[in-house]
Amino acid sequence: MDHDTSVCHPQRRVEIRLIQDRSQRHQPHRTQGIEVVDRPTKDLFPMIAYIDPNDVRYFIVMFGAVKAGYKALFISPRNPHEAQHSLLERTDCHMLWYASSFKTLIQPLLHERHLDSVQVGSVEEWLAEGEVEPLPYQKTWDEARWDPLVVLHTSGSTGIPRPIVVRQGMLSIDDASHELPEMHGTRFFTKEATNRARRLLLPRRNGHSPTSCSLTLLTLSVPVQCLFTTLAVSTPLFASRCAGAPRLCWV
Amino acid sequence: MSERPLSPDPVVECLTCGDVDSIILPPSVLEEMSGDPGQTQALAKLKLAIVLGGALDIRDLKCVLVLT
Repeated sequence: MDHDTSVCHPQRRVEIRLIQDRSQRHQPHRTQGIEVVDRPTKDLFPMIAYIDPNDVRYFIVMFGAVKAGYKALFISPRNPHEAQHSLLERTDCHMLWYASSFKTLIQPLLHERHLDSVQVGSVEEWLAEGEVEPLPYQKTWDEARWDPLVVLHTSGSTGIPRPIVVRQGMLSIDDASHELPEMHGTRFFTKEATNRARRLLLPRRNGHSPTSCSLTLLTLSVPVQCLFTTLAVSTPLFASRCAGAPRLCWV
Repeated sequence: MSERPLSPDPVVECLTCGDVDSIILPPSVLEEMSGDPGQTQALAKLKLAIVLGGALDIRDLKCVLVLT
């Protein structure tokens, strides 16, 4: 299966041949050669808070955390300081990974809380050529359907943001949407995109962490083909339409 | 591009340099692009444009392309 997808930069184009491999780079005990943590006790899923300028690393972290037995908490850079504290407290989170551009922003958190912190590599470093040792994901659908995929949070418009644990099985809802019948002469957009698009460009807004909507989009795309083949969320519906799925392009 | 706010210019750059045939945009960017012939031309090459993140008021568009 062709796993290529691309990240488009103004000056150049980077091909990601196998995002599954790239997420291997992101096991906590291997990141940048720093020994951060060992593989956690099975089914504990320790939390890793992550903050970056809203690029493809969000999804690499998400897949990498799942494969390594963790769960990623995406904290929005727009949250007020007390909201970050509350999210870390409520999720019992003791690890924080950040992109270099957020170093200043997260300093107060590092001073006020006990957090293992890691500045992650750039997109270019993470997507650089080179072999990465595979880390197979062994769980079956039944074993992993209630496992965490990622932890998002409410917007905070009605108070302090609350964490939302997205389970791996939730993606099967989006998967099933491809089987919805026509309504008023129109088809559901995920199905239409699968039918018509070959490579789908998804320019993302600054300052937003991935939303459930981007997760829906994942079910259109190659990263999810990798997700579904390497994680356990493989449903018969999904398998039947893998071949024609469009490639998703992140910028 | 992830360091920059989403606006028509970087979108057009990506449509030009990336091998893509479809796009997902918020309505505000699509509305702005509809007023610029060059940007509209970049969109016209696509097979599919999906609007996400808000309602698109077709009266706000300066022109309408039918992608087939």
